[in-house]
Amino acid sequence: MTPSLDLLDANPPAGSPAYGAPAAIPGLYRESGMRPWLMQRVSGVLLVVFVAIHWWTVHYAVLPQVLTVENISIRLKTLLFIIVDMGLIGTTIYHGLNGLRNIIVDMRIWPEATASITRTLHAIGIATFAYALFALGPFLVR
Amino acid sequence: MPKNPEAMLDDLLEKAQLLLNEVTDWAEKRLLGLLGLARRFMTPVQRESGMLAFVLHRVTGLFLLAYLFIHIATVSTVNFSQRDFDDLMEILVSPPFLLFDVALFGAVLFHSINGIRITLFDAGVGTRHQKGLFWGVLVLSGLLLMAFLYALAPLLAKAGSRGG
Repeated sequence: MTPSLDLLDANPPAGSPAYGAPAAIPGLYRESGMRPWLMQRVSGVLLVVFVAIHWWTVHYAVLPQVLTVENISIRLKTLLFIIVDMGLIGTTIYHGLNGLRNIIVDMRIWPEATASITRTLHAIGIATFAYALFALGPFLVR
Repeated sequence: MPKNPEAMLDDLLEKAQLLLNEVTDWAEKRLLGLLGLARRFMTPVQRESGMLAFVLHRVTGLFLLAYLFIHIATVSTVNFSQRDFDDLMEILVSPPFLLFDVALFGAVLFHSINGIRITLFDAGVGTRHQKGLFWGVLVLSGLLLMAFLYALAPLLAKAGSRGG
């Protein structure tokens, strides 16, 4: 029996691949490999640690105060916090954009263009990281 | 031999028709894909806790991605005027923004804890109890959110006494 390829078919026949054979949708599975899947898990676990440190130090440890350039700069004088903030920015951008790519691939919005979408998201990620470094610049050089 | 204007116009119209067909075919394919996704979501057999966890994880993920860009843009204002940055931070601890912080923290909590649940399933741990674990994720997120609200209370009181 030919596997169902109907995008509207919510209940594919028993024994057939869930939503069409992988080879039948060009670009869908070829570009969504093991590495993005693994990196999504690794960056997710790292983010739990980075976000916890960031929230605690920025929004809880200084809770009675309002954040100012002055007191943020004091925190960013420490190498540990520079590493944490840089790590947080990098992993958040990677995890967020890779997650968006997963959704696009999974929803089969434009399967033929998966490779181009991946490259575009890489470019957006690099540009965002560069802009985030620019945003943090004045705190680091004070 | 050059074509007459009438033949050229016919040729052009035929090409325009072909292009229009291609565009409408492409749009129809995309639309059917989206309709298929909506229909799969609405199919009762899939409207269970597993599907709810899946949808919530994606919705909170997209919300957090949008917030990431807003957060970087907000912090970058320091490059233009440090006084404006300090004024902006003052505004961001007013009650409406603190309520947004609560929603943000809720989304971070759910997304993180459910992410750990998904990672455990990928490692083959706990898949038999996936529904129970999902409700556990919701309860744990709720409890931690309440702890966050408790910690935020002094700041809310301070903002309230300043007249918001």
